[in-house]
Amino acid sequence: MTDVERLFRTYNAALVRYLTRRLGDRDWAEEVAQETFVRALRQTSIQNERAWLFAVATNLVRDEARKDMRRRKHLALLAEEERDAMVEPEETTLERAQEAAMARKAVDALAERDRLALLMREEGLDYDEIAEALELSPGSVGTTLSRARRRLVESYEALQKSQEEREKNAAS
Amino acid sequence: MQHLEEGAIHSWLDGALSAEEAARVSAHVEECAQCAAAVAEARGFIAASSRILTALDHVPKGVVPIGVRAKPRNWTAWRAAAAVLVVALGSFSVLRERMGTRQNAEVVPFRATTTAAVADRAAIDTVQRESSPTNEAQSAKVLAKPTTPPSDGNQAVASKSKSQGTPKQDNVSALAAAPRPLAVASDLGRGTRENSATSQGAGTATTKIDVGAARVYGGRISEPLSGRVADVALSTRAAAGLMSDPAVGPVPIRVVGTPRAFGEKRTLYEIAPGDTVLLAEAVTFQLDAAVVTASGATRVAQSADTSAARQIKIRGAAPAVAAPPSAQSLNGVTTLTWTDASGNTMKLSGRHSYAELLEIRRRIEQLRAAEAAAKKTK
Repeated sequence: MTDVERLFRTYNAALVRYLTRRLGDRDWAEEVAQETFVRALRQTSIQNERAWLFAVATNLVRDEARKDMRRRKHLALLAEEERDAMVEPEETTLERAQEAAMARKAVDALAERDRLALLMREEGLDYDEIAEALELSPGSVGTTLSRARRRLVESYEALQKSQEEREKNAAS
Repeated sequence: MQHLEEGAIHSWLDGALSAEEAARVSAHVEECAQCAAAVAEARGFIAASSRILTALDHVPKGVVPIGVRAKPRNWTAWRAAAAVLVVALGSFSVLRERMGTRQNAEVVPFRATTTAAVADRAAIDTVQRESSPTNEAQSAKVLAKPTTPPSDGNQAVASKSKSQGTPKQDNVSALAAAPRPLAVASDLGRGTRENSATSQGAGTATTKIDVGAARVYGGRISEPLSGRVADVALSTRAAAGLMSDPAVGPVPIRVVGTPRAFGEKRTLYEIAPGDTVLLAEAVTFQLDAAVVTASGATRVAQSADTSAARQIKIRGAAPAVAAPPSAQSLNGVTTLTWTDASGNTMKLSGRHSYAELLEIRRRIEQLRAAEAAAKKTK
């Protein structure tokens, strides 16, 4: 197994989930993740793999990176293998779709740095990795995360409330 | 000691503090109710935000890509094929029970084979349907042939020549024919009125002929097993009485079969793609009056030209029925019973509400008026 394959197998799922949550689009997320691994190929050594990958992926989203089709092909094959092994998400119900839409709104309402820190934390990155990926001081990660979580939950609850009121009005 | 900052609490809960710091925070939380409450709140935020982020994973379907998805398709096609086959066999047995006449018995193998052919097509080239008009034309012929009684040689020829002349329309015919093979000749017979009747008649079938459509076939075809509509697939007089009225309305009603029964004249009307109703008239004479033979196609064309004016006259001639029809429902099939102007008892059955059947009856009457008009001009 080559090094990039090991990287891919270890981190792809988390990276794609992070990017999907970040972008709201699975295809795009997979594309960016693949590009990230292509970039990893070019590195001679990476200190902290996970932090590096998340940082590069995050930057790629910003930069709309140029694509390396040839290498991507190989990775696409690996991705397909992995997808075969993955359990399909359940059928989207109306309720779920509503939840997802509200979650998307609430997440989008966060400041970019708060959002990224939170999404990375959800994928298991520790404070040092988050700090490295986002170029923050390690001491500020706790504050960033606490702020992000509070705001996310509060705006989600506000959305929920207005949704319930709309439904109530519609019913009466 | 000062109260804990929110950031410190989250760091602690996330296990990001050094052992020393963690011990300090832990000790404080045990003593300080306010900070203990803040910790509880932070736990709540951590859990809730995690849950909210999980909801993001329900991205809309179809976003998840490519190739892998093609596999289940075959499944569906096979299932559709199986459904069609079941219907074919079911029709066969129903037919044997119901109809003892020699003619019908002879036609059975034809029907079964034809339907099986449709089944094969559904399984093998659901996609090709869309793309290859030649195939469709051929399949139209395949379908048309067995349904045409041997004596109607001329008509078979007529169908064939039409097939060659307007391949696009044949396409449509073949597709419309899949769920109800008997509609084939009808579509062919319509000549050039493409934009009204034909395109509508094939509405669901043509839009996108992939497995979805095959699935629809399965559902549609299985319906007949439950009721009288089964006769559609069994009719031996497919090509007979194929008249339609171009002036009826947006979705033309048309005859798709005249299943035989003793003491009754039965006509199957298709009121929408895949949706048929059965009209039974208690009369003593046989079907002859309704049978249109070799000249059917031309006659329809003529009626298309002239019916608008004539229809008015004929409608006047066929007075509306005074007494409201009675209705009864059984297994979702409603039957409307009334007596027509000449005293015949009429029964109209279909999977529709009373009001819908009334409307259908009105349309059938229009259609018949136009038929009568066409016949008079002959």
